[in-house]
Amino acid sequence: MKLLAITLKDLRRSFRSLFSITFMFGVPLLVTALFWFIFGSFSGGEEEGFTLPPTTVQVVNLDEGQTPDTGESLGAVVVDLLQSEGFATLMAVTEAPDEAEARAAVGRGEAGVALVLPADFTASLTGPGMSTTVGLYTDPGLTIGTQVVAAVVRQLVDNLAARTISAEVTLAQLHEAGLEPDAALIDEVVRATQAETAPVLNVATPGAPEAEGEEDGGIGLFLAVIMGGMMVFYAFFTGASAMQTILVEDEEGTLPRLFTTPTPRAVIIAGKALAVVVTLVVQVTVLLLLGNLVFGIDWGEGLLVALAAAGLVMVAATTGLFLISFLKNRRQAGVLFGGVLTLTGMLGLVSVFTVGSPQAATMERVSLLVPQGWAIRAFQIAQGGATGGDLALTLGALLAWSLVFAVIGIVRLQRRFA
Amino acid sequence: MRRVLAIILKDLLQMVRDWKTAFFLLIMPIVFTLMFGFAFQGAAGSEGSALPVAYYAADDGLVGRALLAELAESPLLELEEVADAAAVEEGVAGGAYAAGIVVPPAAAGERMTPTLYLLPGSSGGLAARVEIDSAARRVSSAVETAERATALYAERQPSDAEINQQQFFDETLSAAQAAWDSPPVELAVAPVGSTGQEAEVDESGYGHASPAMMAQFAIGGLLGAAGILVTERKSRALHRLLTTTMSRAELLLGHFLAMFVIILVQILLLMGFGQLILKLPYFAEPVASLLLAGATAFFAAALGLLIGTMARTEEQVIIFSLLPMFVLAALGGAWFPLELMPAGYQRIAMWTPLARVVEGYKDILIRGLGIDAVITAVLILLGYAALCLAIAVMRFRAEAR
Repeated sequence: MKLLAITLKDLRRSFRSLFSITFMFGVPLLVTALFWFIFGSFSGGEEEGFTLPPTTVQVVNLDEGQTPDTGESLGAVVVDLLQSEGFATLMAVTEAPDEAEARAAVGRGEAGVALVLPADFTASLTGPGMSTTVGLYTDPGLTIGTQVVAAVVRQLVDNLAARTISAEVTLAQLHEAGLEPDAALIDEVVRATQAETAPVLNVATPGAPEAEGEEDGGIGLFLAVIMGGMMVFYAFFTGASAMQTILVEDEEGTLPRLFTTPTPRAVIIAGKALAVVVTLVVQVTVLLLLGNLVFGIDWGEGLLVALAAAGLVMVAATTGLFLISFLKNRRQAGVLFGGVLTLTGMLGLVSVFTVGSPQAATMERVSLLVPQGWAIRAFQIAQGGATGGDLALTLGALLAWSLVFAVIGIVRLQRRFA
Repeated sequence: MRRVLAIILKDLLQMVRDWKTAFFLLIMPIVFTLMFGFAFQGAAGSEGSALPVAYYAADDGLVGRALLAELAESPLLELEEVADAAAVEEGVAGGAYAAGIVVPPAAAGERMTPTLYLLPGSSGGLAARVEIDSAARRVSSAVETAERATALYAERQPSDAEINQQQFFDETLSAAQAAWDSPPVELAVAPVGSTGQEAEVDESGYGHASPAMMAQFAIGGLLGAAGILVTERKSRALHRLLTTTMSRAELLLGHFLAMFVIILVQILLLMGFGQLILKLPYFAEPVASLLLAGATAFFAAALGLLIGTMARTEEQVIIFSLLPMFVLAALGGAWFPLELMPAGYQRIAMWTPLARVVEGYKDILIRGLGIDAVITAVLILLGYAALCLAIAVMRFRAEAR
């Protein structure tokens, strides 16, 4: 009964504190809402998902040749294609008078890419044994937008080159096999190489249905990563902040007075610890529910999410206990919140920022140096991002962190209040 | 002026004596610059930082073998064969791989199409897709060429033909694959600098991480600096100062300039770190860099003064410092480059202070631009600073009354 009274008193203090409420709910929801707003509203709605802004492209068409059969310039064909509706969401294409002007526009940051189609573009694609180079000059400050343009141009150029290669190789092989190419055969080969080709790749998001050439929006996945990261980051703030009542009561003199009562010290500390756990359970539950209801985040299978949440609550509470056991007064808490928790929190979060990068595996290992990294991993597993075997390892690691922190924290506090 | 100087010196002494100052102002930004820089290193895929790609082929079919051979030659990809298709999806979803390829079993008489798995918005995934798409296109083109040529050969095969159709197919496929080694048109991609001449691309990742963390922790550093006003208020030193002949303006100016100096020193030290250790050309355009550093420090100091006048407790200083730090950093592209954000938002973001700082420094460091590129950023930062100062002064006046 006394334990509950202490718990309720601490809970009242926690939920009346603007500081606690801000860090428990305000900031995680605010940051997620900001990204939801940015990617949801500005990209044309959640249905359209994660879309990149179009990259500005200046094209210089120097092509002087014409195809022998239709008399068209393949350079002009490429420019028309790039300016067509199909590519409007990826790039905004304008023509520039010369190469120097287009490159200078990129240099000044007015264009993301300058594309230069050479004078012998058509000739190289229609004449035997010729070759040329298409220049793509990019803004070094951009990465993804320019890669998208490069991918599209490369695709167009490869498609044109494929026809030439196909025709040349076919005729050469037939000739080698003893078939002398006549006009009819050449015509047939050329027509065959110009036929529609099958898609070379189906592109899909993991866990989503495949779609030819289309990608899943992915905004839900992105928000889950962001909000999951924020939830873990601020749960540790909550654990430490709520556990701070030990310091507060010690400074205010109420804790020593409590210790003079018949209530055992273990009950007093347990009551405070229970308040921290309840506070964390409320925080994590509310954030998970709001994430799902407001932002439509699918956190994963219920049981796995519950296990991940339990692991987070456990490790955040014991981390708070551990850290507070090293502090003498509330002034030092500033270092704790601003320094230790920010540093370890961002270390734990670093894997969130590097998903899919070459360093992803290394950064994931770095993030596992701190308990926040393991907690984030637990939620990623719940969302189906790892194998079942990883779950036991991750929960085991969270338990191990918690045990170590709890033992050290309790021993230090016992010595302190002995 | 002597009084203002005295306040500045007192505040600086107070900050420098506190080890937390060095921690927030220098250690944390350096640690996070190194970490984020490493994390974003070669995110676009480059030689020496190959993108990890999971690969699974359901059987040992022709397309699968040809694609595997083509991809294995790419210096931009580090291919890893995994046990099954599920491992590909899980690995990509978990971030262990930039992309994953699943080649389905070949069905008789049907062309099978490999599936490429990647996460939306992943720069590594996109870079891998470009490379994989190109390889798949070449393989597909070679196979189609061999199939068409073999069909023609079958139609017109001489009765005394010495080679059978399978042999013809194999030889044509080899010839078509070899032809792709020197295609009629090649694409040469090169980054260009401010003059339109070819420039080096920043593959280190520090060109973004360094200014981003510098901007974020210019505000993070206010945690200690803004706390001085709160401490003065709580210890009643502020009230005692107000009873002296020192004017309120002098008092505020002293605190403001102390914060300005400490943050400017912070930025200059971080720029020095970037120049000397990370080899970033901060001083290639010294005037532009220093002007932007000054404006950033001016804005941060004004925000610090505002926080100092608004906060009543140390806890509030933490809230008022960390909140703008996280929100402005997230909005300003410190965590995710602005180029990944929708165009409409990018236009709005360029009116936020940290976006201007980050993009301004990227103009100098990556694009090689000079003072013209940072003038607007400087004006916007000064505008925000003026707003913060005005509110801070109003609040301080009200409090002093």
